[in-house]
Amino acid sequence: MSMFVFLGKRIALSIFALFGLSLLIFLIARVLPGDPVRMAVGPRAPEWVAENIREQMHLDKPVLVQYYYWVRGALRGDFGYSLYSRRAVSTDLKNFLPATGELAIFTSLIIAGIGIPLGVLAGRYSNSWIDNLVRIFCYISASTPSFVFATLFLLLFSYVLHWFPIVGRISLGVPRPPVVTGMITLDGLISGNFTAFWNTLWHMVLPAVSLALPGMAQVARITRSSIQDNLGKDYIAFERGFGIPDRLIMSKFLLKPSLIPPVSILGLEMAVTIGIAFLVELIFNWPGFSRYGINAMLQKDLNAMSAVVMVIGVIFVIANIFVDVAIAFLDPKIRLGAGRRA
Amino acid sequence: MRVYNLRWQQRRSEKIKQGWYKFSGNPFSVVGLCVVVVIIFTAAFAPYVTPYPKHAGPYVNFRDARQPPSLKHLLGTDLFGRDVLTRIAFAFRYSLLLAVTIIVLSVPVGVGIGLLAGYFHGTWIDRILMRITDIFLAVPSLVLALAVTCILTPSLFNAAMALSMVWWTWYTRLVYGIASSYRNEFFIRSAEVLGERWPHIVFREILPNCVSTIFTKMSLDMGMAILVGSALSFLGLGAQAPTPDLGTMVADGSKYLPDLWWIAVFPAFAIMITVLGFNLLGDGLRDMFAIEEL
Amino acid sequence: MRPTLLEIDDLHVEFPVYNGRLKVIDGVSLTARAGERLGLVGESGCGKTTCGRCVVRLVKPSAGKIWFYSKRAGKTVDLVRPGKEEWKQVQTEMQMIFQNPNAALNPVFTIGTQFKTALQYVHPERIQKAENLAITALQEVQLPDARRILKSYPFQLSGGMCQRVCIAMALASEPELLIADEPTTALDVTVQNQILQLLHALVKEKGTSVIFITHNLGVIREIAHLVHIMYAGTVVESGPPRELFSNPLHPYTQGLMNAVPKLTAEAMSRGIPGSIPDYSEPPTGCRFHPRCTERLPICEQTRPPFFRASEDHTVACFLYQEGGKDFQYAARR
Repeated sequence: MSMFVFLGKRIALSIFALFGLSLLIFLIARVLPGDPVRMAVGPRAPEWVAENIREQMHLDKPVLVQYYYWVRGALRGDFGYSLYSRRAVSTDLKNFLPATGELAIFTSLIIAGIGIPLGVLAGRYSNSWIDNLVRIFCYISASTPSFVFATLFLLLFSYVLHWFPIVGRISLGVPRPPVVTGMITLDGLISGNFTAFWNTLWHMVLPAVSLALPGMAQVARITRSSIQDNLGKDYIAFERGFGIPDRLIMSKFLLKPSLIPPVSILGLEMAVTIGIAFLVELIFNWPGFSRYGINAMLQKDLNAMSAVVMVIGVIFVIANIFVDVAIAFLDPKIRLGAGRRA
Repeated sequence: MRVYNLRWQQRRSEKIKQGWYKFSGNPFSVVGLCVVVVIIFTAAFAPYVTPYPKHAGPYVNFRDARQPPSLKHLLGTDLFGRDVLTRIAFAFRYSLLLAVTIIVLSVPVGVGIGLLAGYFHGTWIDRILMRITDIFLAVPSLVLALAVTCILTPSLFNAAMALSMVWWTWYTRLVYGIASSYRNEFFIRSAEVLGERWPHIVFREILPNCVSTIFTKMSLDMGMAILVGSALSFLGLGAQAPTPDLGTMVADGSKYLPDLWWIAVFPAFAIMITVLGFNLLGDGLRDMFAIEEL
Repeated sequence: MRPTLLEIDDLHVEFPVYNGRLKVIDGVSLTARAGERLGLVGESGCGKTTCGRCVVRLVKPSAGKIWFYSKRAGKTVDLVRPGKEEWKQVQTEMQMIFQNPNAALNPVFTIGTQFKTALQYVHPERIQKAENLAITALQEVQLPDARRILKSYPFQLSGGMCQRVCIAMALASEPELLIADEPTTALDVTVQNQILQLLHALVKEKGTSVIFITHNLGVIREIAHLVHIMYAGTVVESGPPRELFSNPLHPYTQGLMNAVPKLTAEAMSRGIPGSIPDYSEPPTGCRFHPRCTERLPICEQTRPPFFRASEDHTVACFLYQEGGKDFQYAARR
């Protein structure tokens, strides 16, 4: 029972935060200097064209009225009209979101699937060569921006070694599966088109790895320290005393409590990943939502920009809620509430 | 055997020795310290230690352009004939400047809000302050900072402003946690009973307990700020040409991969080494102060 | 004479720190026999817990030997550097109960899971009935609501209940030797007595040897056959509790006895002046000499050997050398 209350509170708070965020970004977009309409139509368009557009976009009305129109539209899924792509922003979102979604999911899988085991290894074999190797790897990964990795990987693995393709989501000539989710990998699996699935995966490897490395380093680091902390705890010594074999202790009794810290930062890591995805998308020419967002920001496309920020906010909230559920699953104190029996 | 009262006098030097023992016990931390010292030195004395200080400004020499690394230009020259090594050295200045500005602007604000929210834990002040912080934390900070920088004219200063606007939230969270846990400690309660007003309690009682944590986070943040700053300038939102900037150099150079690889690769390594140095240093400090919250 | 179960011979433990090495244990020797209950008593920081942890190999000694006679292996095993197989067998013959019962249980698994897994490896032949065994064990430690407890998590149980669970688990493996490291220190006073009585009854019934580590003299009086008083990493006096209490010989022991407050005394109890030494530069000779009111010049130079007062009462103090003090305690109360 208490878990539902807990979740309910979290969702309510998140919705409040999202509203606040929408107001914030809206105000920032409208209040700061620069005339987006003029920039969109160019310096040579006549003034009446600019006026027309301004009226259509309600830019002549007071800010709070504009906000009202925007929220009303947003709740219906209509984010307005993009001055640059000349399409509804929602259409753009539908086109570009799945590509980044695929990349983000793959990246998160790499972060968790490689980061956590690395951390466990390093913690288990503390101060051995394995540990030192992992720590060096983590330091370097955490210190290098994704775009540096992306550039170096592109250079090394694509240009020099030709192991991976250079650009694009899928090679020319590979038939695309019918669109269900928009994510080629999932659509490929759904329709049984495995060629498309593997091909897209192959294209995703370099961008996903470059994007995943900083997150992987953080997760590995936290897992490592968590394992080290728990190794010294009395309950491990107590369990060992019963002759419980090491492999069972490592894989079950040490692992479960040690997973709590890394899982709790996974939400944050996913957020950071979404935030920096554009760096990699730009270099690999990945037709994704982040790249779209960056272009929107660079061109001061207000509607697109607000929509992008809001969508990222919603994704962040959902990711955090998932993480909270995962933690409740791992940590009984949160699941049952810290109530004492006796 | 030591005499008891002598130990009191020697405690401070003992603490320093103890701290240095913990710090130097980890070779990584010492390496970080050395790297940071070298970078700061290079940045400070850039005009004196680089071979071609003029190349850091508007300088064009197409005859020498696009040269691979050689004895004359250790890291090669870029599209305009400027020495890459020199430009990297000068670029350190701007990276450090950006990082320091962000920290100087965001730390006082973040710490202040965190202290207040923590001390007034449970009251309306706490609730409002933390709700505002939550709003800023609802979105990856880079996104918000990007949005703001894009709207303003891209420049080093504006990038610093935009990043500071989102950076303070991390300090608030951190200090809020510490302050609210100290809130109910006896020494605070007794100060209240003695009649101390809240400014005294907050700044003279709680704050000193947070200092080592804040300080450590600041050094870790130097690395992060340089990282994020380079991401911004990679997009062209940082220092504008002809000011040398590591992120911009990587962006410009990446168009010419793989032929003129040195234009992008060396600045990329420079970013990596700089951030690595600060991260190692920060981690060493964290081990030294034995802080768990970070 | 019962057969020897555990023998600790000249144990030394050192930890490196920033200004040298902490010589935490400096030459401790003691013997435990089958079915015997030993007490290891001393202030916080005197090294008694470290000794206990050395026996179960949670701490590595820097010098000295620890011998354990293992029934399962059929021979005496060196606990400092045992063979892999030997250690596996010995592990189940020694159990330790920890000071903080809540920390000794895995917080993310139910008691049931932990208990049943432990039983699986301790009594593999009875694995089918693991649940019943666990319930029986819990009932033995006077936890009647066993089924509900098996389904609970440690944080849902009080300290006393957790400690009972730990005792149940430790004794379920039917060890030859039990090391109880301050098992009641972290518990409420009202619960302490119950746990102690329980523990006493159980080990008496099963004939388990116990090394009972505590800083509470009263506790040891009832339970132990033999008590070792430790100070600053060395044993200073050993003897049966009754004799030790009525006739403490070592100045430190006398100080300890005096320090226990008595309702019928005229003045407040007196402490022992000074404080425990700095382990990185411990006192030469007898480690207690700087605080000793009766020290002799030789005390600073040489570590005192053990002098025998009676069959099992020994004291490490030069005051009792040949021609020195008599082995009778002059009442100073």
